Amino acid sequence: MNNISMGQYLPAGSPVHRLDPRSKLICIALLVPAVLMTSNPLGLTLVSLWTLLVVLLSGIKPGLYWQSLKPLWVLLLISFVLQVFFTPGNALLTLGFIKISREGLLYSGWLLWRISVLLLAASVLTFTTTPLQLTMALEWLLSPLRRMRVPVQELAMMINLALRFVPTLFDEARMLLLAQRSRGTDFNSGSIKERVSRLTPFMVPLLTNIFSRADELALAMEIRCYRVGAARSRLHVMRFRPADYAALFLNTAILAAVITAKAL
Amino acid sequence: MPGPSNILIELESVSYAYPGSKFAALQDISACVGRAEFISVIGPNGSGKSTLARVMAGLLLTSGGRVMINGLDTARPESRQEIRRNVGLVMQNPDNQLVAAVVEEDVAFGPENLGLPSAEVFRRVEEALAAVGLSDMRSRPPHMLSGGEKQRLAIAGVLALKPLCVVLDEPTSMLDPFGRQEVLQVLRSLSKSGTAVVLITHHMDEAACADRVWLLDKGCLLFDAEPAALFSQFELLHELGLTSTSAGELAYRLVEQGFTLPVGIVTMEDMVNFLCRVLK
Amino acid sequence: MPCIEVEELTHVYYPGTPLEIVALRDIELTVYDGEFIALAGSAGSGKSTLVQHFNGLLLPTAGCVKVLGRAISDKQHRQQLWRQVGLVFQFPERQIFSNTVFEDIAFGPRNLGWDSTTVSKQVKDTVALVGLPEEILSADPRTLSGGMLRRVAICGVLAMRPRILIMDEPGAGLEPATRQLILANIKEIQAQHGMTVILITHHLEDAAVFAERVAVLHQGVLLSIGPTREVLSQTELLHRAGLKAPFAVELAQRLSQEGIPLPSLPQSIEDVAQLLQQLLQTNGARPGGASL
Ligand SMILES: Nc1ncnc2c1ncn2[C@@H]1O[C@H](COP(=O)(O)OP(=O)(O)OP(=O)(O)O)[C@@H](O)[C@H]1O
Ligand SMILES: Nc1ncnc2c1ncn2[C@@H]1O[C@H](COP(=O)(O)OP(=O)(O)OP(=O)(O)O)[C@@H](O)[C@H]1O
Ligand SMILES: [Mg+2]
Ligand SMILES: [Mg+2]
Repeated sequence: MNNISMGQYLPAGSPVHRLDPRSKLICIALLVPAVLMTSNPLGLTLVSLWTLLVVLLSGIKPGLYWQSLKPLWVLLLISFVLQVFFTPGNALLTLGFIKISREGLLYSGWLLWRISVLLLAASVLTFTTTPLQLTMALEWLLSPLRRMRVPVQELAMMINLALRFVPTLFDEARMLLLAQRSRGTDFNSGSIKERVSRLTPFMVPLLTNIFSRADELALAMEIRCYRVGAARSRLHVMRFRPADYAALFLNTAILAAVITAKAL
Repeated sequence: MPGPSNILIELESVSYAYPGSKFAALQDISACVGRAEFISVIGPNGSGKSTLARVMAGLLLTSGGRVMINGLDTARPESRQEIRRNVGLVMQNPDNQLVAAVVEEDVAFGPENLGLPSAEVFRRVEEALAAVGLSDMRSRPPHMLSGGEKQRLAIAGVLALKPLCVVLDEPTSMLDPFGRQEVLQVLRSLSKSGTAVVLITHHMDEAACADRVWLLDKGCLLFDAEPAALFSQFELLHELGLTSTSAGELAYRLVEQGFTLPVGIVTMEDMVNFLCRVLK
Repeated sequence: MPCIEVEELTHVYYPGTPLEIVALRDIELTVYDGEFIALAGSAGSGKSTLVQHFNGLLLPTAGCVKVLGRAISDKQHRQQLWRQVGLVFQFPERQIFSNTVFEDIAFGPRNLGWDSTTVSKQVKDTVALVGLPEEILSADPRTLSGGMLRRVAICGVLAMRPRILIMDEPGAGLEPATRQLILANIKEIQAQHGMTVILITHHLEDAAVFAERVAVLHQGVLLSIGPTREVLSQTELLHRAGLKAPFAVELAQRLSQEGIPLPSLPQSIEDVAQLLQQLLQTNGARPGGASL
């Protein structure tokens, strides 16, 4: 219960926290192709080390990254194992009908490594940036689209609300779980069928509650003078500082190095 | 009663029934709120206080009658935005009105919507957080606050909007006495500096601090008077399941025992003054 | 006989993260079977956190909480605790999840395995205890006012007749007479059936009337615990904890400052009324006499 969930902002005041959200977003945008394009181990090691360095700089204990990503990593690991088994190729090891191929191992290993690096980078972003900052950055990045009559601000606000709603969803589910558990629903025992049958009285109110929370949120926003399409100002003005230029430069350099290595 | 030029909110025989409900939650309510006036609203559970708050903030449109806010009719869609600026509402459940993922961003949400310059937004956030004593918690996520802390945050969010009138629906129900006193002080200084305040409460001692008290029952406005006048209507209050203030209740007990007390003992000071006069 | 034993309980929210908050620190507390104990403290002092340990919703970061003789860290024990320990949450809206009031109140009793006639009788009886009319049973909780909803939440727990009843600020948002009625009815059940009641409240007047002992929390530390009379007369301590002594205590102190000492320290308005009556009579002001 006392676990940090993915997407939670953690105030820590580190250099990474102080970066402009726009530069963080651009850095991620540069890192993604770098990770996906490298095909040599040295390059990916370099990118991974860079990501780990940023993790260390973020002022958040590495254990927390592990904790919040654990559920996803379990999923990844399962898909890794499946991939290893089902990719055809030269058999390294045969255990009855299970065959582990060299290609399978290599291919899935690469995939696992890449996705882990990307997840880590994404966690750095969400741990050190509030949803509102992300929205502002996104709005800025998309602002050229405004000329093509894309409602950028509304789009960004929608994303912001989706992000801000994640903890609310968890909270709502948790409260409902507690409310039902403290009046006798036992979610932990019984046969699978029994457990599933207990889920219906849980899911139905959860959905209704979530919808009414969304309604209430819209009302709360309206009370505070939010209006679709109206110009909003900002509490924090975004400003590029030397650290931002440094971060952007380094990430561009990494992407450039990867591309050059690939071309050679 | 405020003079005609000083009226900020005017309710003209307002009625309201929730869709699908047979009963009217508000019936034929006529009243007004003056600029810089401090009004408290009391009444039993289900008497329509929260409904009235929503009507006064222009969130619910009346089924009968008219609500004028600063000269604007709440029924007209084009004045909606202006009305939102003029009236700030703190709802009964603070969970429902927290919009951002970080405390300070939540307070900033309103001023940002007004399009104020960043420096001004920042100043208002500082002020509002300081007023409710949440400055230390500015970077915490709102859903991880205690009940009372959430209520303080909800109040700060509306204070930062600096509306002409704040309507607060039981804003202090989860606050400790000192926290309540602090909030009450904030509200009083607001009203001194020209903001009208409408405070819904079940704490009679708190209600007695207002300039006027409205008493609601079954959707009707039974009483609209100064605290001293209302809080000496013991029979009426008791019949509705309400009480007078603590000092008022004590006075009532003494009157029941056969003593004669002057009418209008509402606060502890009134009581102490009276007893000093008699017993010294 | 102790029914809840708290030993060196510390609770930290999100330990090891920047959001880390020590909500409770080294709490030592014993609640005895059948007593009515009030828990007071300012906002954020850790009251809600503390009581969520009593029905196993939270687990100690350090220390031990024993409920009905067994530690709550024991999973099997924890899973059965709901049968004996009822908790009314601080925000009742969050506790209600059914489509009609009846369904919601009947949820717990049904899980206890009672037959349907017993359940519906129990639901009706309980609704009366909180001053709600029977017609409300068919209403949709979403159409109720805040105070009505709180009463329904109290019913949902009370209908299970728990051995230990914990209420987190049940009086918030209730009209005064109903608040009194509910607490008086609960007090009666406590006296008749030996139910243990833990009441979180800021309203020390209620504590003064109904509780046998009062515990005061401040910033996660147990500042004081003792018989109601004793704790409530320590105005200094209450102030330090962000609380105010009941009106009666404050009035008595103001009067003694003005040179009118009362013969004993009153707790409730009834107490003061009685003391003042004696005082006024000995001062020659006869009941029914001319204006004082
Ligand atoms: N959404 C709704 N749909 C239908 N009826 C409603 C709705 N909300 C409230 N009501 C009804 O309207 C009446 C007035 O409710 P309101 O919430 O205004 O009371 P209140 O005075 O605020 O009470 P409390 O002190 O309990 O908060 C009640 O009878 C209630 O059942
Ligand atoms: N779910 C949570 N996650 C993180 N921190 C929390 C959570 N709930 C409470 N806290 C923090 O723990 C501390 C104690 O909170 P708790 O809710 O126990 O206080 P409380 O005494 O019940 O206050 P109130 O009277 O305002 O409800 C507070 O500082 C609060 O911010
Ligand atoms: Mg209400
Ligand atoms: Mg609490």
